Amino acid sequence: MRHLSFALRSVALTSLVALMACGDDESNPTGDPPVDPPVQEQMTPAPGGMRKLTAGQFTASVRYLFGEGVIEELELPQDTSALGLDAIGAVEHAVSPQAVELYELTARRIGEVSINDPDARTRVMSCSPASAEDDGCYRQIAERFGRLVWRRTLDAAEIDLLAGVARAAAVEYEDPDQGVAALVSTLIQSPDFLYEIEIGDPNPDEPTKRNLRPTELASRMSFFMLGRTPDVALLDRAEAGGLADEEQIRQAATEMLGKPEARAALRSFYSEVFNLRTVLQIQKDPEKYPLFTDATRTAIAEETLLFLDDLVWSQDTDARSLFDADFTYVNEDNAWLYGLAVTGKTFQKITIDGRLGLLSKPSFLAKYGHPEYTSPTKRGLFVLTTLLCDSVPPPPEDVNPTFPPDDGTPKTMRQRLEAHQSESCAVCHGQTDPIGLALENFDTVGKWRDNDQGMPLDVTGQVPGIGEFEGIAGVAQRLREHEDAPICMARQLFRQSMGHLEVEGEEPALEAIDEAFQNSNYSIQSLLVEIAASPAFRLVNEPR
Amino acid sequence: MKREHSSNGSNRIMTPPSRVTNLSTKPAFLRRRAMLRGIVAGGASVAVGLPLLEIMLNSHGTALAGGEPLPVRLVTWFFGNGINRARWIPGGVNTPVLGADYPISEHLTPLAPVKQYVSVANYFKNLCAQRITHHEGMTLFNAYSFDQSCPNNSPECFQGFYSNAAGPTIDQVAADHIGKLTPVRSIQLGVSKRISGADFGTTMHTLSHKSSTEPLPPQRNPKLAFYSLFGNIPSADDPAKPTRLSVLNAVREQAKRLDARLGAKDKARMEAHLEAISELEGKIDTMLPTCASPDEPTEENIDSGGVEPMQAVSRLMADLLTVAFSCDITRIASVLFHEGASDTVFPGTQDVTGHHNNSHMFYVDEQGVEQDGGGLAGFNTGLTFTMTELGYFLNKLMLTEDTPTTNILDNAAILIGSDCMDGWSHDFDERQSLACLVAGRGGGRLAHPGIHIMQEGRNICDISLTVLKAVVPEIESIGRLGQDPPATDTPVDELMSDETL
Repeated sequence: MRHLSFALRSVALTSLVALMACGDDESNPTGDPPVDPPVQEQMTPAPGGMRKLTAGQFTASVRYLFGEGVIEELELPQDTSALGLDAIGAVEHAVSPQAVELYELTARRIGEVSINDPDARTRVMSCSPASAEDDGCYRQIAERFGRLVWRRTLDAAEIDLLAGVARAAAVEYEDPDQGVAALVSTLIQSPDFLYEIEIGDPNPDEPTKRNLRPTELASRMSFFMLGRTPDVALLDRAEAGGLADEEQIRQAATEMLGKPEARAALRSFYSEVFNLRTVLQIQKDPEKYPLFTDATRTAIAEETLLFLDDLVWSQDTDARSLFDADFTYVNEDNAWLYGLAVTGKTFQKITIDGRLGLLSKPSFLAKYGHPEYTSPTKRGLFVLTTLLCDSVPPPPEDVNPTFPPDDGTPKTMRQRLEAHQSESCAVCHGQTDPIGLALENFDTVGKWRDNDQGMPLDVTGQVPGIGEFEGIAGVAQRLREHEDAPICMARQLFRQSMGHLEVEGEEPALEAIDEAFQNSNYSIQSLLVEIAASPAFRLVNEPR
Repeated sequence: MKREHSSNGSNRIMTPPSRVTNLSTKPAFLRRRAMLRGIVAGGASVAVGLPLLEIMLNSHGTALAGGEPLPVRLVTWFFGNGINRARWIPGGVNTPVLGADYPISEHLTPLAPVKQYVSVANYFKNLCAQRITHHEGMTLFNAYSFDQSCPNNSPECFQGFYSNAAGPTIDQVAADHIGKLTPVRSIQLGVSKRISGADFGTTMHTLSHKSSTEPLPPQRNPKLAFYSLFGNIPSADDPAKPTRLSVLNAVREQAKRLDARLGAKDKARMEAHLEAISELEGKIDTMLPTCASPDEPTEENIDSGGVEPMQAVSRLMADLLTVAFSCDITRIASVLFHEGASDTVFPGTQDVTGHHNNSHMFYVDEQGVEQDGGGLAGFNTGLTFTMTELGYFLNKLMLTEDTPTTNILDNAAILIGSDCMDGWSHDFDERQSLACLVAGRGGGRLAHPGIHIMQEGRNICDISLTVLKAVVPEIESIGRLGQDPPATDTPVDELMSDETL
């Protein structure tokens, strides 16, 4: 299997640099031990640019700006994913005409909410326009509320533009409030709201290292850590020069960890990478699994999110407990999967023998399976790609995809997948299938089983680069001790925060993040702060 | 909180986005019916699906009164995971029957009522330069090999499974030519929400692309499809009309200010955004079409018990599209019925397994005999369902009058294809073919009655060009001619015609 070659290669590279430094006596005439240059000097950041807000970021932002009354009015286009993340699609793809039309519809509705919903009206309208000619009020709203929506202070021309739109609408409708609705609609549809702008200003000394503008940095931090637009306090702080160095950023990021939206943002991240957003689409044979209802589907996603929330926020424990923590959460809708009877919708924390970590959660086991039987291949692929950030190549061209005809005799999944062990298939399936086969004690909805169609299970296996394992306990242990596992966690969060796959110039910064993550005993909370405080986060290259 | 306004002494009821009267009830934002009532009030009553009015035609009914040719519609229609040759090829694998009298095969039976309008093309070759399973089949719809360049040249790019369409799909090429003639430039629809886990780009998730960075994702929610087609054209006296245009104009001004700071790639994205705004402005500013819209669907394509409402969604989309064509609201559509490499579970599949999995669980041997590995029955059920829904759509078009002498299918050119021919093998064989059908009479430019044609080794994108030329005859080629193998300037003569309908 391919490792996170990038990170490993970078270790070698740094050692080489260190060696060269040691041997270079001329540059070190004092004989003092060499000091590594700061990470910021070693690295080259990725290009800056504009990132479309994801549907989740849009929603959380307008909730903050307009209150709950706006939520049911939203009709947002679906995000387009790239390289496994919506955050990357938001950088790579243009918005489609159908998307722009839905943004326009949503913006008009938000405009209406702004003038009709009492809570929203209080937030938006620091004044009530007395007539269509009340330019002063329109300007005030543009200036004050516009700063929140566009995440920066507006200039005079922008205020002119917005006030002009407001006046025209008020005249057209003969209703001064409609001027505010049109103003808000303009704010929301403008690229200044729809896109995160991360461009900074040209840096003549070092063209490849541009500092993000303070409000751009505030936005990047807020969207990453809180999933929403920055609040007034953060904008004030940024504009007053309070996010000027690593220490200040670290301080601000640490404060953000205390906000409820930090939990919500991480929940949203895990929902995406662990594929919890589509649990209602998990299809199972209703005759075989009549208890697997929509309530169960919803409950197994919530179970996993509560498990993660517990690890990260309640315990702030070693993130590798993801693989082997022995507790979970059950209510009346998912308890049956554990052979338990629980009443009520309230989730209770329980410990169950033989159930370790994410890979024993029904949200994973059921999602990565077929309607009536398991899919060791899909399960194994998830472990390799999502948990270890490895990639598995497409089938080779000389693959022979003809399986032997079904002779009708019952077979275990291991027997059925024997065809995958032919030479051309084993290149990939030799990596994926053994991991999945070690999880065969869990059926396709995630219930424990001791046998497969009455036949005994063999849950032993091995994969090059991972090692030998037996059952869930063996796989959990191999993952816990795998050097790529924590690096992969850091990479996934980094990609989410930046909207791109890591680039070569970022290696020194990534390495520093990995080291800090390790030194924190793998605290996810600490990792969030480290990413925000990294030079890779506050610097950008020339815009893409 | 509906307000009455006095304007020039006459009262008018405000209907702008006026729904926020009670935030606890979901407002009906799709107000077109109300607007239409307003329009129609003083005039003649209008029927749903009204064909082109005779007044709009010349005295022969062969062209519009202004002299422009009658509209010809273009549809691309995709289904995933290929076909089963043993039940697909007219006459059978070993004894294919070619030409116009081809016998309808088992899996094409749902198309029997429209057979006169359907050509079956087999064994044409997919010349896409890369092969990474499923992705390459999408080349049928644009004649480009795909784009695997990784953003920022990142070293880690999911190996082969990241790809994007390298050029515009034929529907978007057509839209560049004729999209401006209708209120809606083009529409992208989809049915199944099960997406491929084997595409980290957009090649397979999106049937229509304007460019490699401009995927046009399908709308799978009929309610929102209705909104895009029928729900967003304000009447002439609605104050929402000038206001929405003024807002969009301000957005455009604001975008220009930002544009100066952007790099080349983001400038292109911004330009696409501004084009989309122009498209919307054109739609808001258009005259209301002179026919009534269908009822607003309540269906939103949400699963229940893990089951997709596929048939309901598929038929609603077909119905909406038929009326949109009939009213000349748009002439261009793509339908992503279900994705390649996706495990859509089709209704009636007895063993409740996914279609992609089923497609790999049987094969057809060199003698043309099916060898079942457990997925054959499920695959056949799924393909029959797919063809039944395609048949519903084509039949609907055929039964809808367009001009006094033609139906919509007469004036449509439809390219139907899959991402492979044999799903089980991904066509990693010398033939490298794709399942492909052509439907519609193309306004007289496509062969009628349809034929069964087999030209082993011939570029399959010749068929795509043929279909495109039926709608935009002046187009000479598609793809990067001379640089990329799938590009072509040679349409398929046998599939063409030159009739006046």
